Amino acid sequence: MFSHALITLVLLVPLAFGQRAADFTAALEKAKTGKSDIVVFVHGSDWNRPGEAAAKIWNDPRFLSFVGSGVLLVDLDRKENQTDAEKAAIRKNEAGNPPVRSLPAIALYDAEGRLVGSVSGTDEMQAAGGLLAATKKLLATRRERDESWKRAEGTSAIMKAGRLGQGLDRMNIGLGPEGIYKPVLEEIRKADPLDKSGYVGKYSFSGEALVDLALKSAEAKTFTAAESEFAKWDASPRLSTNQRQQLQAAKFALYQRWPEKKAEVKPVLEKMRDIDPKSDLGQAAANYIEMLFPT
Amino acid sequence: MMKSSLPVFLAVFLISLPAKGVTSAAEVTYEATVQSTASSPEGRHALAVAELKRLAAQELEELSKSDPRFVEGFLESKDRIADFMLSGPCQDPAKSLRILAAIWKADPQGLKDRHEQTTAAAVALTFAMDKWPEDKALERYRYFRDSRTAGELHAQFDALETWEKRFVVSAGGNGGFEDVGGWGTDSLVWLRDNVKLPVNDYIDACWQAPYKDNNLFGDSVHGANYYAPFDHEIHAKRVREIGGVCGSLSHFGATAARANGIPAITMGEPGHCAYAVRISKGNWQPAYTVSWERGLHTSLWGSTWTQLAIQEAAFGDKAAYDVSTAHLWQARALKAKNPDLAEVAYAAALKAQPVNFPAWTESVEFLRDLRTPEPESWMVIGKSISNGLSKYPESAWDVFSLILAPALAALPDGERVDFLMTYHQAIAEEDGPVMWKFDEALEAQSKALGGDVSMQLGFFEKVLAIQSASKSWFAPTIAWGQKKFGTDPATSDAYFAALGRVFSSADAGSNEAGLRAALGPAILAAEEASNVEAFQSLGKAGATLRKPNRVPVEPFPGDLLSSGGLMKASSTSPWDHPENHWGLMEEEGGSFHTDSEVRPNVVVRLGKIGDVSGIVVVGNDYGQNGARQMPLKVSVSEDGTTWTEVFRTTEQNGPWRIPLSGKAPRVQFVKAERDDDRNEVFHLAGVRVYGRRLQ
Repeated sequence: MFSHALITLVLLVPLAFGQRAADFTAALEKAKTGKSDIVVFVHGSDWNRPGEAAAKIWNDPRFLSFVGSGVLLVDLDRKENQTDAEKAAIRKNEAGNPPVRSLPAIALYDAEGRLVGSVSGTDEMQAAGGLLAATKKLLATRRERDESWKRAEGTSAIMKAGRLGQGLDRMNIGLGPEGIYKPVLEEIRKADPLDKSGYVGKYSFSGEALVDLALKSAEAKTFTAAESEFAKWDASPRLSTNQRQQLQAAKFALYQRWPEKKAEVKPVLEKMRDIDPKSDLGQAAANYIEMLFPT
Repeated sequence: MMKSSLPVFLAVFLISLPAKGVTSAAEVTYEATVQSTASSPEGRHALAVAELKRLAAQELEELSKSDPRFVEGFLESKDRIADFMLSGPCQDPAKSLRILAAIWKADPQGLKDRHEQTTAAAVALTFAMDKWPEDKALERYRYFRDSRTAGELHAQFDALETWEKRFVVSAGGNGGFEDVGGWGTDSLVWLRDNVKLPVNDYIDACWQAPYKDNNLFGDSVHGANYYAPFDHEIHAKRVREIGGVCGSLSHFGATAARANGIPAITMGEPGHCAYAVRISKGNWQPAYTVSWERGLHTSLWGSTWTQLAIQEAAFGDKAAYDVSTAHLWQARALKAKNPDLAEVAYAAALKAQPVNFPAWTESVEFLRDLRTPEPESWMVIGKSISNGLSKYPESAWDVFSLILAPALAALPDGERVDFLMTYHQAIAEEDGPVMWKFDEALEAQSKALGGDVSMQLGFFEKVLAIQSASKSWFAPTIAWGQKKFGTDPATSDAYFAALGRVFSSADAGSNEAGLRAALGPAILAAEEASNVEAFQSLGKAGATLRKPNRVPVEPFPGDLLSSGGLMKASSTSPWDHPENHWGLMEEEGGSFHTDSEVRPNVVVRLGKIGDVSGIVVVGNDYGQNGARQMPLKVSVSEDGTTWTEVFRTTEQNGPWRIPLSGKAPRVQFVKAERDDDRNEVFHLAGVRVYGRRLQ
């Protein structure tokens, strides 16, 4: 009985296999009709040794069953010494060359060719649990994102905005490379013009812009205008931990230069620290407190 | 001192020395043995050991007592001695030996592998430099050993020789070795595991870190608090996360390459820090560069780009380099007791490798200081230097300048300018690897000539005549002459007359026409050579010749990034006035006019790399001739090779304002072109580029 079940399972497994595609162009074409995910593995076979260890896993036939059906695999070998044929083939991979900062890397694109996420370099790959685990996490990300977006379909206003925003949150890549997810933000804005969900604020927040505002306002001595702007952001309900810390840093930049508000400097840093003491910015705030107010 | 008519020195290029037997001893007594000893591996080994003993006898003696096995094994091994002695200069041989001995003591097993032996030698030579911490050398060796054996380095690293590895193990420079606040081992590990790229991509790796003047606390990058609150982070990581300006970004890019086993350097440019990556043997690519005026922070032979190039050429022919260097050791050993034979050895060193720059400097200093050449010999020496190093005009000048004063002092008045012309004739047809401070060489030559202004003007005219066909040296010659003679009322007439004669101008003697006739080709030559400094200098020199063409157009936010840059049109024409080119990128306006051609264009190289907020393109005719510019396409580029279109119009009524905020974050080149297949002229009056400087 058991052996029959095993045989049946073995026979069924090929149906649950992913498929390898010749290049990203071919994969995207197929993905659009089959609503498939595209996993791109980026490595360099003639120079990148850690990539070759990962390539062994990638090329193992079992990898196809691990990723499951509905997944197309594209091998993007960024060799340093390429044949003419390889150079020509690169053009077919241009749309699927993820903006990664270290190799080997794995990236997931959805059926519309939008980047969902990536894991790049040995540090990130190890932290993600290796190539296979990283791939599975990315596939889960895409599924959960789409579930959020599907749930948004039957809703409106703040509910719709919230679910669309949760989809963006799930990817954690902002609005994506070259703002590919701006249309989602526009949809959020349309559904929730007053931004009660806070997602418009979250996805249009710029810590750099706020610190620039602090510096320019301090120079022009228009401190209160900047403070009002910061207060608006303080009221934004959806900012991430990191964004809330950046907001406190911008306030610090303003209060440092505002003689009447010097007393606010330390509380602002303490707030920044307390938002998440173990985060990089939390520790930076703690360090700054120590620098300015040594115990 | 001995008088010498230098027959042997001439032998460098004229005769081959006969070989009359072989000796294995380092002792050189006959001319024939000079050749044979340096040519055999055994002979070179013996010479290397002798040279090492000459340089570091005391340290060797002390190490012989404390670590006799190291000294014995080291002196016996041809490979290990060659790694140490034939991999470029060693600033402090005693310190270097101590470091090497310490590494061998710590890792005798690992050092059975040749890869580790060359890494150890490279570390010992590098950390022997002044202000490099001796006690950190072992840690650096271990980093590269462990990373290599774990397969974490770029495949290129395994093929590197000791001298090449010196450009790798120098990662992080000689400061900031603490993990907090500097490019220490933590940073190397982090960069190895987080910025691993194909070698070409390291040219852009600096941009993984954002260019930011202020951190998120509002602290300026020029103050002490920019990175301080982030002391808990690895420096490389915090640079990528927080950002920085050119210094941090270039160190990030170069250190990322080195941490992965790829040779790279950082380098200073005027008001800027850039870097370079060695893509393959002999192929250094500058990165985040804004000028040819570079001072390399790591180099074996000197701090200029030319020296990097000539060193690559010399070490690229390692067999010749080894023989040449062995002859230098012979010469050093002989010069006090047998100068005649030392001269033979110096000549042999140059014959073995004519691009061995240290061999030239040492030989020439020997001749100058110990041989006191006859007047006619100076002419020969000058010619030999110039011809031998002609492909590297800057290096040729570096050596030639060593004999400038004594040669000019010895030569009769009538031959002194001719002596200088031997240099100019030799380099006239060579462009060299890069532009350099040619104007400073002219100034030094002119000063050394002494005499009155008329003599110096005569010198200028002769140089100009020789360099008039040179793509590289013509424009800077004019620019130098303009600065030295053209602005002084006492000399300007004579200057313009000289220009007129050189250009065979019918208007010779008429200042304006003469200057216009001279400036036009010189400006075009500066554009062709992408020589921004000469272009700017010549452009300013032509200020009185320009017609004001100011067309006020609302600027975009930020600085006028195009100001101080350079333009290059796809062609010139009889309607083109090169003296007007300078104003094209300035608020005052200018013009250019191409010949009839398909897809004519103008490329503007910005004075400053920038995050562009907008471009203003100004036409000089929106009426009947306005169609010549249509369809007008504008593109931007970081490297002048890969272009991104940012604007296209068929609306011929300009000026055209092109807002680009957030769309062109790193731009050094802007191209305006007519984008169709008509064979037609093309002309504009302004290409003004605005934005935030990134340097």
